[in-house]
Amino acid sequence: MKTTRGLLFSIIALGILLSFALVAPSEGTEVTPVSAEKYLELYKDIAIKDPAYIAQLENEKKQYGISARDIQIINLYYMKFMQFKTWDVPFCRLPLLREDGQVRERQVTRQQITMPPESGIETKGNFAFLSPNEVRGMKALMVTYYSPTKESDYWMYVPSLRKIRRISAADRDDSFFGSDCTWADAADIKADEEKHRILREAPYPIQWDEKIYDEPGTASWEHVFDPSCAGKEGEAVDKLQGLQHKYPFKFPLNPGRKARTDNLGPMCYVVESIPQWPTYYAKKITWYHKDYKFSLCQDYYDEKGRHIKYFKRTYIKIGEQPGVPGPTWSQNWWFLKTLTTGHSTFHDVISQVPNKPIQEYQFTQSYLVGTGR
Amino acid sequence: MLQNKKNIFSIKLHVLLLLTACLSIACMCQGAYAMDTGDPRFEVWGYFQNDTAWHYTSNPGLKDIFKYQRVAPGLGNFGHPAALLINNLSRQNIVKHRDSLEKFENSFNIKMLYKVKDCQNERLSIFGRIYTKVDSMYDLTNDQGWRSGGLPGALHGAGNAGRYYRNDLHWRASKQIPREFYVDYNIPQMDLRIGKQMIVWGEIDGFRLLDLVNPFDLREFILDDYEDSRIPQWSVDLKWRFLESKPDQYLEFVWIPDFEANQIMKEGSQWEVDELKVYYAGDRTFSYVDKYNLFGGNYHYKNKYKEPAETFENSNFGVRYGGVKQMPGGALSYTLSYLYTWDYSWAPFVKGWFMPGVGNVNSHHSIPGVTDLFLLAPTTIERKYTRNHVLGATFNKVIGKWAFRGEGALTLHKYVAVDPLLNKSGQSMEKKRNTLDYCLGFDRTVYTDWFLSGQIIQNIVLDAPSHMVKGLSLKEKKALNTFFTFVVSKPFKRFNDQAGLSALIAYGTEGEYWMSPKLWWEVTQNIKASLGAQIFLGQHYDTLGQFNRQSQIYTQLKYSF
Repeated sequence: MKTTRGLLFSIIALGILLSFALVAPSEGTEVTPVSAEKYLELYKDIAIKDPAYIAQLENEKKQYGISARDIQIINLYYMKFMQFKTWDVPFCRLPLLREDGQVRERQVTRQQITMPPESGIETKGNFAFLSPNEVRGMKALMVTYYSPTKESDYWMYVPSLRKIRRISAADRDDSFFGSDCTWADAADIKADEEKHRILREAPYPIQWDEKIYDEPGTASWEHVFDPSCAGKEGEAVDKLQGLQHKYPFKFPLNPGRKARTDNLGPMCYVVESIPQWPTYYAKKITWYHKDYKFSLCQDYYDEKGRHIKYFKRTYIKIGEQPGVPGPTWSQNWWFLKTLTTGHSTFHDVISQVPNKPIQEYQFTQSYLVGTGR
Repeated sequence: MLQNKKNIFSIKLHVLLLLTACLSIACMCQGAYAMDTGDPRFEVWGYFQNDTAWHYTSNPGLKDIFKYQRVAPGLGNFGHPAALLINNLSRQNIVKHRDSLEKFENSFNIKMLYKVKDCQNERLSIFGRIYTKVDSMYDLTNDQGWRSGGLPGALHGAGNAGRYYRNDLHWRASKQIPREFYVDYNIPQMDLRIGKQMIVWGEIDGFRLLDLVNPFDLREFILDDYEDSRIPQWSVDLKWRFLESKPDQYLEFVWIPDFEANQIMKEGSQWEVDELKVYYAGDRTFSYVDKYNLFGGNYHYKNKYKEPAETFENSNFGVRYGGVKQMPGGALSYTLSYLYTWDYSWAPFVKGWFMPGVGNVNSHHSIPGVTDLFLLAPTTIERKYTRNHVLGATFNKVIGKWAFRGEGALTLHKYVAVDPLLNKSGQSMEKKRNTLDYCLGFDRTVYTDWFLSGQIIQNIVLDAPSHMVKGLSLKEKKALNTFFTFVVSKPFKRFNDQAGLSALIAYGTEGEYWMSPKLWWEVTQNIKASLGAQIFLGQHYDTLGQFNRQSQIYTQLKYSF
């Protein structure tokens, strides 16, 4: 009898909750994006208490008007899409290219929300694999923090287990699902986890390729592709509204490494970064766009000075945001190649929608499980 | 010779059928991705899988299975005629199955999703999964030496062990084919799922402390994938995010009006646990004794089995509260839960004992010096499902480079087995006690890509009764049982993470091991191949050790579409 009463109570409670849910849809809380200046202000305290390093940064400010550390902080601002309230990528392709020409491709969808600094949480993000079937339905939840010492939190929903696993931050050197990108490469690195130093200013040796990007109102830099590369032509366009690009896909991709001196790219700061945490590289050289400070290319070296990996990024100018000075930029292509294996990864944001009304509940474990299959 | 030719033809036929099916699906699919249905709201994906395994140990049968059984404590454990009787009447696989094929299983898993509504803050979808498998061992095996019976009138084990091992897996019951079917409704305040579904609680791997919401198919012990062995039930699952300012916190309600028991191993099957062997053997023996009046005309044996009626009162329900607490070193995830559920495995209740020449007695202590010399025969065995109240808690937290997780379950008034022949307090074999189970685990990555994971699991019977036993075997059970598990895995960088190895080692403090090394290779985007082994070491009646003659080497080939 007690059981019956308990069950009846549960059912009635469930009914009430359901009715309430159906008549009271939530509008969610409005989040104001953080400006690059404000973001820089949040990280003004230097965690590395090395007087020589601090002095070097001060000297750079005098010489270049900005320190290597500040450049990296603004770069992280762009890498983390902090300029948007939310960032939605309905469709993104991740072809994994083997040296022998074999191509494996992952397709993902990704979302992110920028949190106010008062919350202590910088961003909440999720991504889900659409294909291939082997990883389909796998989802991750990521929470990054403003605190320069607090490490990001990760949870992973594993569809075959129908449950969530916690991932430790120590796994940041892990490959991002078989790609050449590690979790740390994908923006999860703090400015003070590396010591930065400006080496020089130089024009970036790349070429603006109108044959690949021809959308009005966008601009991009791209390294030179070998025009002789052959492969099948593909096309993928998402049906959702937002910024899309449509162009022929060429496999296998050969990014080439020859600098084109006849058509130099924008002026860049060339910055050396030495990691202060145990990781797979000993040195990183980054080309940061001088005007906007985002990174165009990163070259990784091991402790013997061997060039082991490079990571190129391209950007799209997506217009003006009300109240935000200057153009708004978003990331477009990433290309990574591990030189020790010849394996490379292409990360292509096929469609993206900034400032979509995404709400915080979509970045919860309950939602991950509740929509997991 | 003719049989061999037939087998070879049969194997070829099955392989051909598998390949044809794979090719058909491949033709329908667009590249390496899910099927193109022509409607972006309708998605179909799935896989074919072949599992083939070989025995590499011999099975000595059940000859020593009763050495722990104190059927007549006054006589000790040597050569008691009761043991002889039971051994001769039980179905035994005294087979030299070493190097023989153990399974050739083809499974098919297809998932379908139809998005009825896919708005930003309101989603309605229907999901279905079809799952079936065919184990062709039944058709492929020769007589491997099925031996049993031996007494007049007893059932003889005609046939062969290889066939019987897999007989019940040969064709799945048709009700298992539509595996999952449910409707999802997601809005900012809640996620609601209604239909035949799996509900998974808990943090740990391999052991089920809080993962008790659904029953399991245990016919391959715990070697089957969770997705295949967990039995979905018709149920309602509501996750309610009741605080708009803290959407990380939720309250979950689960209601399961549908009862399904654990699928257990059939008599003589490969993964039949020892306690079940004893039950099957005892049941066969006492039925035989009753049938042929071996204990005289006054002895009558009954075996009762009853499943709970699917009434409203018999529903399971659960409540869970979960959240994330921000702390200086990183977030702490936690859940607190209560589940009122059926134990999906039946418990044996022995009611009444009989001694030839004496009649009904209470226990071995009924007539000192007499009743303890002989086998007491049960007059009634009742297999019943019992209700449990389970209070649970879980957490996960990253500290430094370590990801810690844990869960605990306090089960109230759970039935534990006691020796009914030595226990003076009564004849029932079951007593109610509270039990506490907990697990603490860690995950850690070292040297860039070596993943390590460890767990300690302890089961504690609180206020443990005297003469506690594991089951009908009457083998002593300790109040505290401890297991350790350790997993290591590593992808091979040289193969761009397209190949790797993993190994699981589980150890029980009673001296039992389970080792499961595996090599895998992602041949193409759609095809994954694995080679591995399942190795068991230990003694009869131990959770893992009882399968010490069922170790296997296996291959797995999976085609995803």
